[in-house]
Amino acid sequence: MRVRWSLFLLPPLLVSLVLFVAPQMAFVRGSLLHNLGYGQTGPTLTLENYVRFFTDAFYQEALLRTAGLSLIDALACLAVGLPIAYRLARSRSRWRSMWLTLVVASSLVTVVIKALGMMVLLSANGPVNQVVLGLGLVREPLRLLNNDVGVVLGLIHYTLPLVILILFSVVQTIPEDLEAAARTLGAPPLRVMVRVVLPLALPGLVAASLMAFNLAMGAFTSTALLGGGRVLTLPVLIQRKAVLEVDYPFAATISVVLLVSGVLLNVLVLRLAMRLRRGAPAGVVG
Amino acid sequence: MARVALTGIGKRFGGTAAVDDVSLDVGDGELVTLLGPSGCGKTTTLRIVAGLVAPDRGRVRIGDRDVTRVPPERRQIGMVFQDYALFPHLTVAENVGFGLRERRVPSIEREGRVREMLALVRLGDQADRFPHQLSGGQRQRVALARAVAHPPEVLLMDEPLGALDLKLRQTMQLEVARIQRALRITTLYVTHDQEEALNLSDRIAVMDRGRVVQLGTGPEVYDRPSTPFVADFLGRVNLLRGRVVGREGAWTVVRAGPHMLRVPVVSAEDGAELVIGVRPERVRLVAAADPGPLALAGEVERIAFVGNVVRYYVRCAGDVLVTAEGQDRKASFSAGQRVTVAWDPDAVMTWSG
Repeated sequence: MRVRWSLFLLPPLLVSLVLFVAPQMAFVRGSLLHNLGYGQTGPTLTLENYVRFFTDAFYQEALLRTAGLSLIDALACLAVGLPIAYRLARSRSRWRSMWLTLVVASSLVTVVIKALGMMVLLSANGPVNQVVLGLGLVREPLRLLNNDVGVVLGLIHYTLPLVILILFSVVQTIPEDLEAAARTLGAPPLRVMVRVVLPLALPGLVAASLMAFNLAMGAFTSTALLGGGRVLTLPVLIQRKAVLEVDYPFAATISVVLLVSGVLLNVLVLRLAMRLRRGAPAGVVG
Repeated sequence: MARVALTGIGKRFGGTAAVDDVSLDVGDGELVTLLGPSGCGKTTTLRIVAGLVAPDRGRVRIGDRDVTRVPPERRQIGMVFQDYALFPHLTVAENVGFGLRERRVPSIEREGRVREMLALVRLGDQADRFPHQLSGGQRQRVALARAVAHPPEVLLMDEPLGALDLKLRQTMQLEVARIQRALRITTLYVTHDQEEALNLSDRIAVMDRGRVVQLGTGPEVYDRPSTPFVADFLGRVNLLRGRVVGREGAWTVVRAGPHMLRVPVVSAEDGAELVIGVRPERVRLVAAADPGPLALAGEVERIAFVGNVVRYYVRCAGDVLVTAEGQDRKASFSAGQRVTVAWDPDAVMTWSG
């Protein structure tokens, strides 16, 4: 008798659906209710929360800020992560696995711990400022906390290890002989990067940057701690509405907007990437 | 076109010498094969010529230029890799035009050159396809067209036919020879396949443990191998190890186990160790009891029909196994029969052991 292994996927699928889709449905419904204050909601469905979100410049600004900071984080992670991942993937050193373990380990550290570490490093009299002041690069300590700079640094700290791990495995799928072939055909190392490595790594670059972007869009802890309550992104606003103002319907509305805008951006980027993609993936043809 | 000259090349990886001491000249338009078993340093030598591996010692010259410290992109070379290394995201035409584009050849001239190259490898109708849509042999030809398009001064080929099946490999050998001759391009070709080497090369450099042990034309290397290793690697050979015990007219007498063998006179002194080799196709099987001075008595152990020849394994005294090959399929020998194996004086090869 043939075993239909795909049936074994059914239970986890059901559990995921219940745990993932059901709360989202609850959110969507919650966002359509009228807030009566003190956690009470009206009985009828209304679009008033969405009208409020999209007519108040404050919230649109928060949406743009959230997306903007996440975009900066994603691009910064690519810029910093790709060279590191490339070097790691092409390294023949016996220290390679140790470096990789460090990257994995750092990605496993709780965000709270990471954010607290960053607060110590970035404070007015922290090591970073002591160095730049000591070197005479600036006269006054840099303001690295409780603003966009601190939030972005915190987001990078949070998402960079994961980006490095994804890009590492992407670079590993590109045969080294392709780079050697490009060199023998007259391409110096930088041209090899542009004409061979980057185009072949494109799907991985897209995946890694989307992951960084998505994590940053939903990041609460590092944003709240390093922004010091002054950088108001959507996750921070959700927490405020739900916990401080006890306005559950509007908190749900922000959540839905965050979710939908995130999904839309992902679909858009993926479609764009599909169009850029040519030939077969690296590794399929040597 | 240009000559290639390697002098005293050495390269160690970790503690082991991949290339020990290689000196080699490839003449203008010549095709020289680096032939040897895996791990003999042939691929490393080729990569040193390409500039992909930096040698620890020695110099590499291409034409009039010392390129030892020149990066690959400025060496005017073309290379074909074992697994082709075609760019999967580029079409056949873009692959072939890659080197031209890096050299900023104007696009009109480039397109013409790409068409010319694709015609040369008979892939004119495949220009817009991607590598994964091609067969192995077609990919191989794209790799070759790409390597010679810019055009380079030297063509380097690293086991280019290794991934193809036997029939296709033989066809492609002819193709490679045709294209190499059409372009008259100086070529260094790496292979572990002796038939491929004999088929293609002007000269063969047989490599063993990081050194060139013999350099010569196919017939030179096959008929007068400089060491038992070369004799054994190019074709088959019966090898016997013995010690010189004296002289007998035109013969030197050698004791090998229980056998007293005669070989054409050599300058070795009594007591010197000697390795004797006779190729199977030069060994005759005779039923006579006294076949002459160059013979051993034994018993046919096995007869194998291998297509173009019949191979006899004859077990002689002292556990010596002699292989003989004959064209005659109706030979009147059978397994278990007592026979004598004999050979002519000019079939005997000797090396001091």
